[in-house]
Amino acid sequence: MKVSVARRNLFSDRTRLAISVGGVAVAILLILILLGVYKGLIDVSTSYVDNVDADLWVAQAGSRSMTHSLSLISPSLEDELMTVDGVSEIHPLVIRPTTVEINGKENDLRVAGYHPETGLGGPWNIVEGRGDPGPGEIVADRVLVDTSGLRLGDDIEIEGRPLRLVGVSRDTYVLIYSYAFADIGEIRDSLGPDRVNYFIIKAADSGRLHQIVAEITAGYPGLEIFTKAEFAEINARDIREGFLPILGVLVVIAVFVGMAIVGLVVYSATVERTREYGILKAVGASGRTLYGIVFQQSVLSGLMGYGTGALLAFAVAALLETLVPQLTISFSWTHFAGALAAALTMSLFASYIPIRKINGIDPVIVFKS
Amino acid sequence: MKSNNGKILKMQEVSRIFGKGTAAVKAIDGVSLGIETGEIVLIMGPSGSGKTTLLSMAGGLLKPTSGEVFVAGKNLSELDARSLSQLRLRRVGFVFQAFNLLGSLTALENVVLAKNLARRTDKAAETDSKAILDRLGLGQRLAHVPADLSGGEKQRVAIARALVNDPPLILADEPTGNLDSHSGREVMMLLFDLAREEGRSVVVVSHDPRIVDIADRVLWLEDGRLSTKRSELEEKVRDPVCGMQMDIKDVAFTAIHHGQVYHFCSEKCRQKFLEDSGRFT
Repeated sequence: MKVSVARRNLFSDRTRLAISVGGVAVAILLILILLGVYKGLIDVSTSYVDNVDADLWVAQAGSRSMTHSLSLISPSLEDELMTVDGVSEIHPLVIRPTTVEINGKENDLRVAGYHPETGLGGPWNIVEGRGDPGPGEIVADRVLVDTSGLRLGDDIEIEGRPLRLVGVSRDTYVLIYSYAFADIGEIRDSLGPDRVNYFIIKAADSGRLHQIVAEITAGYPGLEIFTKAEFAEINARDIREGFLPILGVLVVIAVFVGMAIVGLVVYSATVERTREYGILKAVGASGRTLYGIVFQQSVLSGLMGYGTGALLAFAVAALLETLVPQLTISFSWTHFAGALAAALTMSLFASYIPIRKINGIDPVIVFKS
Repeated sequence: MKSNNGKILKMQEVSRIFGKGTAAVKAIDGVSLGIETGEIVLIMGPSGSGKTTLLSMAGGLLKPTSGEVFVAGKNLSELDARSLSQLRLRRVGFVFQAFNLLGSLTALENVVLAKNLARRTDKAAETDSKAILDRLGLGQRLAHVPADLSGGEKQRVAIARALVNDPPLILADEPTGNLDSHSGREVMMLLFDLAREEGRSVVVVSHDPRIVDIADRVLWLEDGRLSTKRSELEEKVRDPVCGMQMDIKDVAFTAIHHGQVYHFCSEKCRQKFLEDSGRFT
């Protein structure tokens, strides 16, 4: 039989336990939601590139991310690039930023023009209707549809041309704009004559991608060519560089808040039981044993707070996504591992001051009535 | 059991000064004391005389300013903090006036914890603890927390905790101080049995004059100096079972055996006598 003083101390005062666990849980919840929002932003920022089944992206030289710089290239290059050794398929894409007014409200859109018969560059995660817009048709993101009160069959006017809504997609909202998808023929004209934004290439042999890249780079100095992974990374970088420092500060604040709460609770529990620690010292408990008790209390609070916070994170994320459709919260196991590390860090540092307190307890205290 | 010239506790010219300079107070002044195996020694004295300071030094909780303390042959001033903890755990059992049980633990857990501290976490730790509590009449109170126990029960749990690692020396600070007369007498009897039946040495610091009756020696501590207290207890009768001396007017029970009157402190002692009178006459 092994008596756990830490556990008994912890559970003997349910109110204090609730405050301690609640404090860590709130901190962990905040950390996980912040990380989830961050990953959601990264995911959606690369979602278009991730969901286009292409090996290579060809853009105008000097044009980097899809967010910040416009790529304009001539459609006539399509036939030339098709002759490059190893290229299996090549398709033009038009990504047109525009603003549409629906029911008196302006909405920012990125209309992706593609060849619906290939499916490359079209919508994914269709939640309503169909995902292959024909001539005069459009598929739009659910955030736009929900917030504008649109229904299937309604018209969305893109630069003076009405397109009928035939499908609704999800996970196609990026921070401040929604994606919509239409036949490339419907929106190519909006860029002016003889212009597309990108070519996407499928290679006959994925092992020869570098040769294709080298050949196009050498033969076409006005073009820049990226692998899918490179292009996704370029688009994620904007979000990462813009938001990560802000989120990092908030995560650090959350860790300190959690640490302060656990520290205060464990400290007050230690002070309240000063006499009992004195008793244990007097009857022969070593300093290490006593530190172990305080540390265990702190770690148990931290782990229970972590468990509670992690469970709450799923519920809160679901609730937030319902209340704020524009928000995408995406968790990964590394978030939970990181939050666990944060909880244990909070526990470790939170037990430091109480342990110093124990160090100073004079066991002669036990003789005082 | 190791000893120092047959003494389980030996204090040599021990002094303890609190404070410095003009504020210095000499709480203990050159005390020498030896406690034999199986001996019960009562230390009395007025409040502030240094009794608790002396007991703290005897148990290795406080370092003397000068002099040396030996427990079971070990010079405490030569031990580091870890070794001192081990010595307190295995060689010394403390009994306190305020019981000093851990409030969140049950009676059994309070005792098992002392075993755990001595690195015993096996089934035997629990069995031994139960056996001691059972022997002290607490077999039905194992799962009760201190708040649900009477003062006498709490003190018996504290004694069980002090005994569970089988220490040869028991240091008791006012063990009857917070108890009613009945419970106080029970605790006295327990301490008496620990010395007489188990051969443990018991040092009691107390104001309770009843403890004089079970003590082999009574010492008087005043102004930090220890002296032998002259017995003021004459014209008394002695309980043949427990050996307690009583004023004849305070005798609770009597029995006549072979024409002789015997006096007893309690019905328990009288019953013991009647069951086996040959052992006590």
